[in-house]
Amino acid sequence: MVRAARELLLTALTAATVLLAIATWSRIADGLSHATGTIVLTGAVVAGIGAALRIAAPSAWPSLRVLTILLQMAAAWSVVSIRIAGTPVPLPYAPRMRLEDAFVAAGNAILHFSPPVPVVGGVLPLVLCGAAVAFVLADLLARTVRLPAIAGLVLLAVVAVPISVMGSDPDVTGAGRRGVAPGLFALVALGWLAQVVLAEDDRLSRWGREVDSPDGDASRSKPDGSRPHLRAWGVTAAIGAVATVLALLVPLALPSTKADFSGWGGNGGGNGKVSVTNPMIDVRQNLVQGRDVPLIHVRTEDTDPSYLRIAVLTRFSSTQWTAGDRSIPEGQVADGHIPIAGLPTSQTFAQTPYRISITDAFASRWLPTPAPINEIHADGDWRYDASTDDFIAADKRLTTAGLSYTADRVRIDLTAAALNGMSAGNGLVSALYTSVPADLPPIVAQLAHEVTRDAATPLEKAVALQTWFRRTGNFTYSTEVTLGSGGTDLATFLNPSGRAGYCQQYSAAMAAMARTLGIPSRVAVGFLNPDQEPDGSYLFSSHDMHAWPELYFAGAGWVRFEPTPAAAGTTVPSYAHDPGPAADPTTGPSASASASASAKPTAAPSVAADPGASHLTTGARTHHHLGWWLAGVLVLGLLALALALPGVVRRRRRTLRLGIGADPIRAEDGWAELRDTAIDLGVPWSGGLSPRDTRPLVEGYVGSDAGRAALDRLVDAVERERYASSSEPLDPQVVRAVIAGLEEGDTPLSARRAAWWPRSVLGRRAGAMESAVDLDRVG
Amino acid sequence: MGAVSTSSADLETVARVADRIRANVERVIEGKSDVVHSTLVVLLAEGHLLIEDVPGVGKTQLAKALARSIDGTVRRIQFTPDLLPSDVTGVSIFNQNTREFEFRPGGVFANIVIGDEINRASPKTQSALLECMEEHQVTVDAMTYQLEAPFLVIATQNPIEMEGTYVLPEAQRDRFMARVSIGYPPAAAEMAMIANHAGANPLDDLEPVTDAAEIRKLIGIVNQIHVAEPIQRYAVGIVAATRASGELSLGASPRATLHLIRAAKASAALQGRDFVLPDDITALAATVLAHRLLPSAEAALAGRQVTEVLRSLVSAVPVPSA
Repeated sequence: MVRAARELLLTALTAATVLLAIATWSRIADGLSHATGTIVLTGAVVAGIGAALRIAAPSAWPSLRVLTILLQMAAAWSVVSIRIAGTPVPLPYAPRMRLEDAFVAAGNAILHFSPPVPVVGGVLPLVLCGAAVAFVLADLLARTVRLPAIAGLVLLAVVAVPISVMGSDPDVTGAGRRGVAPGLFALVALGWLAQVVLAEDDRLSRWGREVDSPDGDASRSKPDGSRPHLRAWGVTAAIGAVATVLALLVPLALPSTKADFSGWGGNGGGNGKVSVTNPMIDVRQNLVQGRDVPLIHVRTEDTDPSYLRIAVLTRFSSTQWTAGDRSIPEGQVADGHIPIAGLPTSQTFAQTPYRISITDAFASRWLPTPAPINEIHADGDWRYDASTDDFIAADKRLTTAGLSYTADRVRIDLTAAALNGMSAGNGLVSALYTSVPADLPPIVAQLAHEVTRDAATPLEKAVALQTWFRRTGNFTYSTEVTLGSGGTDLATFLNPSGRAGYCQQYSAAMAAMARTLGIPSRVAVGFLNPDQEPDGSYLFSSHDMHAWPELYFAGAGWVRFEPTPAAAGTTVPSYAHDPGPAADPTTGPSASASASASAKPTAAPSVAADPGASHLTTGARTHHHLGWWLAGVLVLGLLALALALPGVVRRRRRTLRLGIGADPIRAEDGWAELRDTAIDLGVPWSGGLSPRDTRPLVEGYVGSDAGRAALDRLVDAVERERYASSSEPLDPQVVRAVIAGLEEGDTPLSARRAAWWPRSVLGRRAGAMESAVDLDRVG
Repeated sequence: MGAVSTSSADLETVARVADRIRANVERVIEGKSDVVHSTLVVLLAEGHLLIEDVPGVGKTQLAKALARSIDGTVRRIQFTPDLLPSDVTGVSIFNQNTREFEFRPGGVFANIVIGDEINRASPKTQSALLECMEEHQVTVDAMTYQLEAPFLVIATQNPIEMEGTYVLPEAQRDRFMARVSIGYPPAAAEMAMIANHAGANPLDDLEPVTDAAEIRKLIGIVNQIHVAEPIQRYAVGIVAATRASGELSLGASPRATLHLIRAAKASAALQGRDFVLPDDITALAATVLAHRLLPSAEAALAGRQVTEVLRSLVSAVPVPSA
């Protein structure tokens, strides 16, 4: 009964630890909470089957282990399949979705989304399968074959997934968050340590009496009064605790790793909301990638179709700009009239219809539209966020690939004079739009105030910032930098020695500086400067991706600015025209359409030779160093593991054969263990001899009388088991005594080599060669 | 066999009786405990023993000592060229008084038959004995007479003096479970022998230490000794190896396999074990098999003894572990 309870407890602990490890995936899988139920069920089923079979048949034969794994895999697969396809087995016409379609869709989701990838309608099958595999493997290692220490590798692999996806430098990947929350990591580590300690405790508590004291009590104390397993408890706990604390503290001490103790991992959205964190297709990647992939065809009479918006980033965290939480009630469907955020609904505007066709290459869950629009007709469950006017797929399988739809762009004629009279829309919009992270480097606010020193109105301030970025601030345009959009990256970007970047940095920096000045701002992501096709339509391709800041003015709503230098083919909006002497040659947005064909955002990568750029890379080099360090540590760790493996396997074999306590064993197992020990220690052994003939070979190497007596008992037991009509099981202490005798008669060096580099594991050949002994024996 | 297990009391009986016989015989044959052991093995395994050695080492002494130790009928047949088969088996004689034919039993009607110098008799006479050995019965004039158990034939032959002898054919040697050579005694044993034989023949003082009934009981116990399947495989493997060997022109027969197993059972019982070990088989292989094998011409030319060939064959057969 106690055994069963113990088995249940340890199995549950294993499953719970894996569950905690899987929780770290919330950093790369958006909306993981929607899969929580299935994951927990999978874990419970796997653990339940494992525990039941282990309790039912404690002495695990290999075939039972295989059966356990097979049952666990089948059950886990059924749970996953029911969740995805609606049936426990794959059917051609599954109620919900064919499994292969689900996996193909998941693969596409990984290809087309930067992390975090949405779980629902995205990587759900992969998440569920990964979780199932982790549960089965951990249960197998920790409980079925009782190697909880090795099961730590499974946990490590699970936790390594977000780290490998997110990288050590959050801003390069643009994810904005660290791979794994330290708190969660600590919990996983503690769970694992608890398993190891409890399993070790279990093992020691069953440690039996010694062979020469048959009256020994199983749980008796050592002569010094300390109970051995309590001491092991303490040592294990201390080592584990120190290791965990070090793992958490060392990153804090390293310069380039940002530790964030605030998050505990989960960021699942609540009901009624689709939780969307980051639509940011990696702009830089698209800008620099070799092939210019056609993405969007636009047919319109608009004189200035140069900007197409995909999404809006509203939340400025310490590490980057993200889309923030979105509210998309069911009523806000992208089919019909759309209110324009920040403008009264009663107002009427001139409308220009757009007909937008998206190629199959562009599978976005955000709908590209001109901005602002007040009418849209798109197939599928596209919803808009009323506060940002961007469109999100509410259906989990919906993407823009192959989609065609119409939208009416609203032409708002903004003039500098009108804008100048407007205040920044503080109070009209959420405080989110003016919030900056607490750890934002002071240089951002300092420079913002410095640059806008002479500006009186919000518009003047905005224009001053824009001008500073475009001309006076000595910035260069370069897609070679590896900066992100977080606070530290912006500080590097704004530093006089930095000042090289592409649209992501310019837009993020201007938006951030506007916020420090109290002007509500956000970053829009989309396309700029399409190619005009011969038939008069416009084509946006992957090299046209762009980001720009939008600032809020009371009465005018969100107003676009363009801080990215002209080298990227950008032009200044007419209302934001710098009155200064060195004005941009273009006079207004309307001119950009004709200019667009020649001026591409990527047309000026030559500035990468700028000395400022080389300085920028020093920041990145720190990360590279860290990467090398980590790689080195990993390689060393793997090497150590590989070196330790034969010893571990050897010890495992011994445990399997002799058990861990005084439970009687098969004499044949004891004999096999003696054979392996002899081979390890270089004692001659022949497989072709009878036990009785083997005894004199081994006897000379046994260093104690007790060992020799035990050898006799072992030989006798093996003979009985092999050849007599009935036999009794063997006390494993007999074998241990012989082994102890053999080790006593050996040199410490040889014994150590036998422990770490056992010949019986490394090659059976060693034993086979020694069988030559039997050829000249005397029969 | 498997269901009936041998009790330790039975094994103790075997050991006790065997020790008594051994002690008795060793009063006559000093320093030859292995030969005595082989003799006991053959006795308990219901086989027959061929003692082959040079004259004067105590072949007949050994046979007589064993026969004296057992309180049963003992006959000695001195094989000579003029010995007739009816001298061995018995003969029907017309009784004048009863006016009926009357069977007069021959030399084999005893518990222990000592066939001295068996190779001196004609093959016809030899084969009369050998039929009795195999079938434990004698058929004369259509009447079959059972021989009483235990029935042990101890035959001696002299391998040196070949003049006027008829060497036992291979087929007939096969009937003997074991062949032993006594060999010359060690110096110390020979010294002791001088002292013992100074007064009277120690054979005359020998008293029986057991009887035929007890030997029958021991044979029953031996029959119940467990032979595990790996042991059977081992024995078959060794016998098969003798048939496959290029150094032997004649391998061992299936009867040899049975003899080997039975001898191993007796040997195990004598050592107080209720199951046979591969070591029993290994130890008895030469004794039980060697006299049945014929070396090939090449081996004979190379001077390879059959025992040598057999030893290397046995060591090449791996001991089965399960």
